[in-house]
Amino acid sequence: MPAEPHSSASSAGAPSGPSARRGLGRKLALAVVATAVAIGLAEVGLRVVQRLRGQPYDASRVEQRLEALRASLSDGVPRTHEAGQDAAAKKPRAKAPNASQDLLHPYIGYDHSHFIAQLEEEIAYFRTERSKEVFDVFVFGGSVAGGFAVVANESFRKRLADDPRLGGRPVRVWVEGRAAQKEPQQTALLAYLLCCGAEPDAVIALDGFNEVAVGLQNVRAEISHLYPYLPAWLARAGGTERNREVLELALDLQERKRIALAKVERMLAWRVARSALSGEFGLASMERSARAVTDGFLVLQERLGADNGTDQLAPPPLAGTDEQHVDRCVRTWVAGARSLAGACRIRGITFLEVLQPTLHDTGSKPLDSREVERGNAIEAWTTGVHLGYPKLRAAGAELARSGVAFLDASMVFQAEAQPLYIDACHFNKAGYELLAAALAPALLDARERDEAASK
Amino acid sequence: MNAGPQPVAGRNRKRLAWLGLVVVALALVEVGTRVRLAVDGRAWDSDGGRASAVQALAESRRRAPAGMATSAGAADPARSVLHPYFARDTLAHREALRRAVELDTGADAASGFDVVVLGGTEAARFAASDAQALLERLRVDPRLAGRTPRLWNEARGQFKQPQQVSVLAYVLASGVEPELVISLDGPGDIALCLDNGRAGSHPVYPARELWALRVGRPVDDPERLAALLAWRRAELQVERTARRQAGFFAVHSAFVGSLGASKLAREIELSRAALANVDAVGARSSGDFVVTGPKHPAADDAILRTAARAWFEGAFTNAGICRERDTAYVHVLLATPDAGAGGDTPVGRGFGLLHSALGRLATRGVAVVDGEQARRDGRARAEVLAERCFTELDAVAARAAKR
Repeated sequence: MPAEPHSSASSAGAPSGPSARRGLGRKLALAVVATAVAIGLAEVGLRVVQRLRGQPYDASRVEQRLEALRASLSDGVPRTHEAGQDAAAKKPRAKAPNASQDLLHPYIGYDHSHFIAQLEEEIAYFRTERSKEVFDVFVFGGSVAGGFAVVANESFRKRLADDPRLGGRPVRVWVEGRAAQKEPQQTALLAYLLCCGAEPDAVIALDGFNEVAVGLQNVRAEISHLYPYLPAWLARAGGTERNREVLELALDLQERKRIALAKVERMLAWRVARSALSGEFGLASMERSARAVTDGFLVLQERLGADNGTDQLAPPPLAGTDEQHVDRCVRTWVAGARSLAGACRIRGITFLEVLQPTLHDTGSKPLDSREVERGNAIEAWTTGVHLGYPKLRAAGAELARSGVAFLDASMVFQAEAQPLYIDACHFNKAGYELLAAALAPALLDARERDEAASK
Repeated sequence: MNAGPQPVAGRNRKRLAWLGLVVVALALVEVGTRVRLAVDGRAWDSDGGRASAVQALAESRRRAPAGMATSAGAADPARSVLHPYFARDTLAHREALRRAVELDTGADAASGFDVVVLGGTEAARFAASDAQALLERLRVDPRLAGRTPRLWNEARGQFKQPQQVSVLAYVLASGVEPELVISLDGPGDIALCLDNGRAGSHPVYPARELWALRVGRPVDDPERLAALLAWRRAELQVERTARRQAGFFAVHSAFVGSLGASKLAREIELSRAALANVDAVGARSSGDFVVTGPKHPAADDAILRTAARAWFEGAFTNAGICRERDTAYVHVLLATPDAGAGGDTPVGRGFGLLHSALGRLATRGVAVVDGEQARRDGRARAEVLAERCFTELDAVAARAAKR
């Protein structure tokens, strides 16, 4: 190889020209390879460490958790209403004027634009011959009821349809759960839908948690437990806009939510869960972002509660101890169940009241470490559940004695060691499926009893 | 080129010369700016510069989107407030319900006989006048066994179904367990549904006037929030520049001050435009959708059918809710001058539909009073209603005894 001519600079020891470029290229390639090897080693090392700790890396777990975080950052109720529905329901949905959002609603405080927009075509369905043939089940409650009607829709529908007691009728399960909603919202929503022309064959109220947890949370913020979930109501009822400080906090929260949502969507799009390294680090970063949103939300809530102007938009609670407040929450739940039962019984609609299981209800499930870690909840929720669930069970038994069909599903996970909770109150698919297995026969038993009573 | 080290003194002289040049240049720029401003008739005024910056800061803090500055308002009992389950309430009603809850869940709960009146404007009038005669009859009736009748006027002007159901559900959820529920409505339901439908609102939504007035702009509307954020960013920029403008250099230098003043003026314009955009977005975005509710056919006949269905279903739901608790329930279809018009007017046609619905309610075992029939028979509404209430109380007692 001929010798390269040397410049004055090269004589000072700094190579240049093609040889220097090749050298640089080799260095860069080496750096890239070294980085790739380091990442590969780190990936293998992390997986080995996790396996040695008895918790091997599970990409689906990370993926599910990211999905759960995305759901809770949007509105808690996934929007796959069409899943498993009959063909008639698969038409394109009416479009809401804005992107997915919760709006002020005159009868249930607030509702999702998606539900408001699609009401017209849902009511049109009840004017069709097809609706007479189909066994239509409305599932009311909060986000757990919404999640149940979406995630377990297919299996629940199949369990009902396969039961000979329905005589081969096709089944359609309707999502009527709304995030954070609680009595009297379920009763008001059913009344509104009936007035609009809905004709369900069966109604399920899957609730209890929000009534005692969110109810007490409202009380802690100095507003009546009867009013809707405080931040959702006040933000939409106009309280936020009147106060600049509150608006700043709301804007800050919205910005945090927007950033966190964009982040989780990017992670899901890039499928970061495929690698233990990116999955675990991404998830940890996402958990931090979600916590930042929760922190922002708690600060806003505290400020909203302290705003004197909110008194116009939500009355203060009656005076009393935690025990008395929870008693009132339970009384409201019972009143709601009886109102729903009455509205259904007079029309021959089957009604089933279901007390939902929840993580902080002591003894209701053996919890694994991840469930404990993710089950962190604000004090009002845990106190509400600890004080409220024994009362809800007793009140439910009383409801059953008075003739209201009641299923105590609070202990349905009691023997389940597998992780079922994705946070303090929502379940994974396995959890919803277990619930579906308990609900389907209970609903058909209730229907059978109604038919026997009407003869 | 091989540049050797320069003598230190020479280097310092060079630096000093450059520094002097910069200072002279700045001084020339400053003088030039002052001269130009003076020639333009805007002679530099350092105090004025600071004052206008402070004013810009104050104005920026005063500017707000429409509605933000609304005060909470006085605690006037008649003051109308937004309600999550029936759109509108008054502080007086809220207070009355609070008293009802305290009485009905307190030690003397068993000594009362609670009568709840539901409906719209006409029902509220009834509760304030004719209902007293009914209470008198109840007071002396042996069926009450010495309990004191208490009337709770839960009727509110411009209410229509399903607001009567929502009110009853809310009263019950509060802890009140009435012994008798009376609902008086019908003509208002038809008229208000027609008003709604013709104005583009869903007939089953609350009376448009009542609801539209109460609905604020939702702060969680993403488009409006984005506009609010853009406005806040622009406003913060104005505040930052205004603060700098009030600082030493901006006040004492015409050059720095006038540059800053132009920047501030531009930013104030941008902030104003962003603020105008917030209001524009608020006016055109979800606000209308919140007011109108779901889509509904605009033809009168379609509206009337929906109105009659809502009225029937609302009454039937209330009857079911009461029956489940062994509470007596009586539904009154109020008389209306339009009843005579029959099919000649939309309200008359709607009333005809309600009359048929009343018949269906009666066949399904709901205690009803036909106000129009009572008027034709020349009987006082209160008298007919009292009779119907007593019959219903007997029927409820019989059902309970049978179980």
